[in-house]
Amino acid sequence: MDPEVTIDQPLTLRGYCEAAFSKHSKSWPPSESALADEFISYFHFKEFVTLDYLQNLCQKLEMTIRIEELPKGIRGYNHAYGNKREIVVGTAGPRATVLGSQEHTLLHELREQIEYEFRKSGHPVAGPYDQEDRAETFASSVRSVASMKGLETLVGDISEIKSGWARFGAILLMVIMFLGYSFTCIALPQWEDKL
Amino acid sequence: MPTRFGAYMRTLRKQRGLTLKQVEQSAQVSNAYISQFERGLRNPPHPDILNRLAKVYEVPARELMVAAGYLTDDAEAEKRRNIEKAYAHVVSDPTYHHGTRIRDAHISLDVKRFIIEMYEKTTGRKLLESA
Repeated sequence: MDPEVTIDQPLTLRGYCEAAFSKHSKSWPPSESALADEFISYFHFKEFVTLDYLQNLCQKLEMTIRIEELPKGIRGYNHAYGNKREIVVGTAGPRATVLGSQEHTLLHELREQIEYEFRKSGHPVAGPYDQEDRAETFASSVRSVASMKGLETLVGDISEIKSGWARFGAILLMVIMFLGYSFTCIALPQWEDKL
Repeated sequence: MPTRFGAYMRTLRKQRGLTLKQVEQSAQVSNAYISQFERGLRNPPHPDILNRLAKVYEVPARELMVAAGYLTDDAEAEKRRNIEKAYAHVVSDPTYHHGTRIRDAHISLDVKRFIIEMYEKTTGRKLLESA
């Protein structure tokens, strides 16, 4: 999987917020899944979300990303001061890494930075009491929607398999893996504490 | 009637969603004994037991020692006051925006200190020395 993010024109968080607002202004605030769809579309996601991919995207958005040990109690941290923006993602245990805990956390923090942009533009989406829940839903939705993009690529590859049985097996395996992956995207926040 | 220490220990256990039986198994301390000191029927346990409970409750052992009265909390209280004061400054600074992905609603002192350090690093202002 190529972690390189191909951006033809400078895409920014502000640009993303403007695109989301122009699309959903009539029913503002939009749902997190609507914002996730717009995020996938605006930043040209074509594959399953990986940490490399997200780190690359954040660097292009001039955001510093660090992965380091965090104090017990938090999984990620984001902050903005002047033009400086930084996201810190906590190191995760092996099982949490398999389930995409760090990717989820990075997306959660990114969503909070997006909210900061929405507020600056005068169109806040989240309030102080639902910001955390919204960021969690956004992170799950982005991973889930991006996996659909990854699935489209896989379907293209499978269609080239000539043997009927091999193609059937590949499709079956793909469906099982996709369902499992989607389930982990949604269930991760509930599981993380137990990992 | 529960003592302050007993109520504190009970709150810690409940916050972590643990039953007396679960704590008994993890810390190797009788559940009847835990129940008794939680209800104020027994004095705070020996420091060795507090050490084991601290591991199960995921809190610094010192915190339990102070709560049990084995250690003086003057220095700790001063440190805590400084951190709380600096943290209040960070959250009230309109030019600094931050957020976390937190495990529960409670922001521990360690997390507050981390946030202050992030603030100091980013803004170039020192809070803890002057607090």
